Amino acid sequence: MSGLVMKRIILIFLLVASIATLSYYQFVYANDDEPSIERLMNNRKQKRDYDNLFDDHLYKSFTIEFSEVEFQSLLDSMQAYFDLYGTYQDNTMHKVTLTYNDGEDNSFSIEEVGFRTKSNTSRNLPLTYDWRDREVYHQTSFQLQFDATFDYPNNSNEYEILKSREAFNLSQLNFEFCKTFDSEFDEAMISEAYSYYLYEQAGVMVSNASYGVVYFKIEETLIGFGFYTIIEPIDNEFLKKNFSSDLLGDYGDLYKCTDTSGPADLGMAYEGLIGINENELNERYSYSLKNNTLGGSRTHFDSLTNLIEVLDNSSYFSLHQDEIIDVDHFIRALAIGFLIGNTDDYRYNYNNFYLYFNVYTNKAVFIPFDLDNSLGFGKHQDLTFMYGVNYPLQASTDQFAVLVNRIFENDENITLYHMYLEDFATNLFTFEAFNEEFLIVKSLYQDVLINENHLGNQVFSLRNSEWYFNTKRENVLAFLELESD
Amino acid sequence: MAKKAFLLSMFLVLFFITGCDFLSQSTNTTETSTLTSTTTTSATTSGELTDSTTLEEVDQSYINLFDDQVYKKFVIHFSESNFLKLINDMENYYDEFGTYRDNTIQEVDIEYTDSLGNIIVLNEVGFRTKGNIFSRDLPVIKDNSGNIIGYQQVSFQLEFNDTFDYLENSTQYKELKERRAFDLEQLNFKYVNPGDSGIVTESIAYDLYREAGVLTSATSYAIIYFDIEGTEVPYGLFLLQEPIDDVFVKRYFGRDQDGTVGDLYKCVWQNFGPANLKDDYMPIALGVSDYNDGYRKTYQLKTNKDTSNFSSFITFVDRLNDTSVINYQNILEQYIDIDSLLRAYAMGFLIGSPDDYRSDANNYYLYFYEGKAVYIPFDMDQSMGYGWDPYGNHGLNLDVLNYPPAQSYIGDQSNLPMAYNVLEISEFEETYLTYLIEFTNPTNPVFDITKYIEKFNLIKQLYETELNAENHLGITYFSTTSRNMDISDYYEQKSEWARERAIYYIND
Repeated sequence: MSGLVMKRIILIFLLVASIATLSYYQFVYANDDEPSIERLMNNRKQKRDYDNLFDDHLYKSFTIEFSEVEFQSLLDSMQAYFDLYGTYQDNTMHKVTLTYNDGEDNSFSIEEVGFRTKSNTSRNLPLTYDWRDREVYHQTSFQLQFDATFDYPNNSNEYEILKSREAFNLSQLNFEFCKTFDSEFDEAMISEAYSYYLYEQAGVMVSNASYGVVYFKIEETLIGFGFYTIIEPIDNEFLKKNFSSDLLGDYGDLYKCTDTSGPADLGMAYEGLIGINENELNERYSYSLKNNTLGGSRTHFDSLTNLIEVLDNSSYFSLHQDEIIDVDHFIRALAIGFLIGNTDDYRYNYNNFYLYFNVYTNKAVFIPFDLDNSLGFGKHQDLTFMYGVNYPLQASTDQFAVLVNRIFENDENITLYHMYLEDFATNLFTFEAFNEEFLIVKSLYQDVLINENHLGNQVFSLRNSEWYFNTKRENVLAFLELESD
Repeated sequence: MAKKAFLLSMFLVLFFITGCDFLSQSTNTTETSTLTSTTTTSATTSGELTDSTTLEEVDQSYINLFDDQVYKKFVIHFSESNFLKLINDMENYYDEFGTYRDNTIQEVDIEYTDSLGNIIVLNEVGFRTKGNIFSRDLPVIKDNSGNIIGYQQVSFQLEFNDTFDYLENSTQYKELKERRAFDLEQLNFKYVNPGDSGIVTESIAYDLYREAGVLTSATSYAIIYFDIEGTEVPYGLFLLQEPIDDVFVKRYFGRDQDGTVGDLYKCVWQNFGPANLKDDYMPIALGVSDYNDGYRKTYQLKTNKDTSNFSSFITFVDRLNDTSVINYQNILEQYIDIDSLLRAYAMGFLIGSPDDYRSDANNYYLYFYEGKAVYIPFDMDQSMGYGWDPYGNHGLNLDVLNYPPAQSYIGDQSNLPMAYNVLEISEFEETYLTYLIEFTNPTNPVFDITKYIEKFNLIKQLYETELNAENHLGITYFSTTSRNMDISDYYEQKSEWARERAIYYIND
């Protein structure tokens, strides 16, 4: 009896051991060739990560990890695009791993994130070779796409997970480096993010923005890529956060408006300027529809063309302005934009704004973006090189910014504009507040940039910002006083 | 059997649970190890990047560069092939045009160090030789078989923003185009004239002009080494000269109200004759020079090359030469920055370069600022009792007002309208004489020998030992007395004579 029991025990033990061994090897085998799908998931608390990401007083670092093959593929695809079109605006997505660290001890990695370079003028090959064949790294603006699905088949588990994956409560995240203009860096470093902050404080819907230091890790080589402004993209996620959908969950049309194929002045000469960008063919439009594109097949752009048509009819616009556009929002944008002094904007250069059309009413909302030529720095249309500090309150550079002209044809609008100018100049637009933010950001990043010899500007300087803030503010208040007399 | 199946399934469940634990543990480990790796490796990033620049403010690096108190050293790194290409290009140019004035740019790396502890390393900088027909030579000495048997000094220029053959809009093009060093796009290096043991003559001449209220380049000195693929050539002491270009005019004049800068012309005696500013110049003498043509224009536009119609210069020369108008003095005042011109004439007379506008219709720039021509002298190595001596006794016996051009080719003084016509006007003449008196005031002279001696001693102290110890090319001997003329004699005699004559004419 006891022998039979022993036999059974041995048999069971052998059986279990065999199964366990087989299972273990199967697991190891599976882990090698078929990595767990869980690696692609991001189960972190999105809202908290979003808040940390845009907390300017937290130190943040982003390490973008490439395989050597993937990095070379990035270079090759950009160079091929340049060879074809004379620009690096290739948007091919490349796989990277993002590792995020912040001052709150949040550290996490996300695998298989999409990486592409971004922008036109600030888009660079991240690596070139000089005359002695040495590696030279270059800062470039770029975008991370957390929902990129790469070549995964759309019935695969990977595709299903990735297509709706978010990080920081975002599908994508933009990174812009501090560019040079006329051989000078914007040594204040915070100008663009601070300009976004000023818009937001003025009640204008804009992207959230903050700062971080970026590393590229190519296999085992780590390169300090420098200080970056991180900017929330204006995309479907942005619409979800800021607007209501219809009952089906759909949103209205969103257009990105730039001076790409002609001035985005909202004037009647819009033929050929509206469309859906075809990046692979290097076809880009000044008014580029960013959603509801019907897979790129949409050919009517009524929401925008209707707006342009009614803007052409001064008397109609005057009577119906509040049905056509969010006037208060636009006037707030004009007022704070005037103080910020970005003359690469719609008002002065017919450039750099989005228009969102309400899904039910088609009422337009104006959303400015790209604020790196601001606060006394950068490319300016002000030919006196005084960064617009002496500009009259209402004037455009010329009279082609149709929407601005229509708004200023109405005295009530001008009164409201003046009221906002006075409010913002008095309560919001101060050098002291800018300097406070500057000192905090400097204390967070400057030593790291210097000690690790990062690319780009390393030493923070207030440059002409005190002059700019004070002169602009004083001039605006003086102009307002003159107008009230 | 059922028992066995139950037991087996229990084990399987147990194993599955264990496997899940392991799986999730495995993910955590990966995350931790990635983060650790990031922190560790980031600490080693420093120093891996190429093309590092100083962390100092750019303007401060400019100030340091032209601070004579600061010892400065440049090492210019050539590849062997680029150095040979430099020579080949110059020889080919000589074969074609009979001079070595080839401006083909070669890539070099540079390393700057100074006594303040600043180090600036710049890779992929443009290098070209510099100088006129007589002063530009090969940087090497060859034997009759064409073998390099030694090196010789030649003036050169570094171009920090050269884009070489990179395509416009390419990353390299954009980055290099925007690059500056020392807050400059370019920097000129001029070897110290080997016969002038006073060493600092040219730099002092620039200083004197600037002290007299005449705009011209900032200068200083540096010791130069060539490194040709590991072969070090101690290349000698060089004058650093701030180029007179668009950066220069923006620095000193700012931009015009329309955001642009004015037209800047380099005016030199070249293939089409002296830059005398007479209105009979050949049309081809005015324009944008291209060294590939094998000649240089007399009046070379240096800014607004794509946009200017040359009207600023043409109108100016027309007005200058039209003495028939009733209000000629007003016209001159309208078209020339008279005060700075008269200051320049006064200080130029004291410096005594026979190769300037007033003597030789040569070596100056005209910058058109708000409609007026501003005279900017350059190239002063034949000065203060050294070098070319067309007048004899280094011009010490020249009268302050009436002296002929240095070369008979020019004819008489009236062929230099910007000097003759201007000084013919009594008010301008008097101002000129007043400046001469002011600059030679014995109690507080601008034209002051002590400044020369101080600078001489400073540069001697900073560089003489190294020049001799490292067996540098060029002049290594410092002496204010063993030159063509003892510098003290020159200052004393020139100052006394100029002052005496100026007072005489004023009182006349």
